[in-house]
Amino acid sequence: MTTYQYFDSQGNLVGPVSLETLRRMKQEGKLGGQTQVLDEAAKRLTTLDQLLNGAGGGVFPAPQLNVKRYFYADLSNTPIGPFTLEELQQNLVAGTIRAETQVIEEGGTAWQTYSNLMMQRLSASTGGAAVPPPPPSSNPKEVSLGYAILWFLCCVPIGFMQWGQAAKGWVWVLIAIVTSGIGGLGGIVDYWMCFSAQQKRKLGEWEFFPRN
Amino acid sequence: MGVFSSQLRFGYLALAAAICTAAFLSLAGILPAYHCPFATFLGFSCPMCGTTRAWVQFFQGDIAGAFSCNPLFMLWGWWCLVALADLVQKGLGAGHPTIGERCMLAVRRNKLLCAIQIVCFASMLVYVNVRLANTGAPMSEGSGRNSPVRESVTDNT
Repeated sequence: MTTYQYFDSQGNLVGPVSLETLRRMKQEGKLGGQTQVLDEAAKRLTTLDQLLNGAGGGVFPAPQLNVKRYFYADLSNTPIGPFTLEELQQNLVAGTIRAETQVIEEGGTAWQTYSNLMMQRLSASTGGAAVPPPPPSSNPKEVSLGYAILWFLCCVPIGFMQWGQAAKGWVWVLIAIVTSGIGGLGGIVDYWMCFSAQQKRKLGEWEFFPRN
Repeated sequence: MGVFSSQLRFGYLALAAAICTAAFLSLAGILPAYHCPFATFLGFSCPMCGTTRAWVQFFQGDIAGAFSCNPLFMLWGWWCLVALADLVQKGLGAGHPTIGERCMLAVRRNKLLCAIQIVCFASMLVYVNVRLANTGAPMSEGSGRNSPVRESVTDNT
């Protein structure tokens, strides 16, 4: 029975596991389609999608037409090499190096683990989209509830200032003064509506009682 | 030349003048007594409760009475001053960030200042409401060398 190993999100080589286990883990969302899988029988690396789709896999994709070569540090910290990335992969399959083995690019100055190198290559091969960026917020300067309460109770105009409505805050203070405080209730309602609305969008300076 | 139009700048200055005038008329007793919407409608006092009376007593020379009205009246007064200066600065044509925005961001970026502000806020919130629950009266009503500026007034400005 063919067994496989895969690189987890920390770059550790995990396994051996069966093909069924890999399929189930992908269905459960524990593994992504671009997860690097080592086919122990074929002695080669492939992505999980390629493996499950029966493409047979291929050598770890090299997105750039370069011949970067690397050294790895053996047990006595002696640089061994240089090797191409494919040769390093073969060394991994042969057990000469491991995921945590330190490698360095030829002419480079910074050592890194082999697994980290693999992750960088994976990210480059997918256009940097291995981990999708978070969706853009409609209001990147969104104010949290804690700050909203804190600043409102410290000073009403400062509270409104958080979403660019300081002058409007003063209008509410003015209304509260001339109405002996009754108008201040409207300010409290308006403040709460502004707080809710600013979580989804940027508010205008003179926007009263905004709706989401 | 600032980023605000001349009409808007005039509006900012007019608003600042109106606020100062209204505050003066209110404190002088010409406008009706001010009732804090928190205590009146929501049933609890905000941390700034007693600040107006504290400042009045402060300007009358009763420092002890001022602190008994609200021990942190200077902190709240500072923020009101910053907010008013912010309005005036906009009226004079300054662009962003204004003085108020700078001060607020400075506090938010400084964890120590932010923590002090939160502690002041929380302790005063507890203090004024415990006092309100025990006496049924807002902060320091009837205390201090001078009688309260306005009877039955709970202020938050």
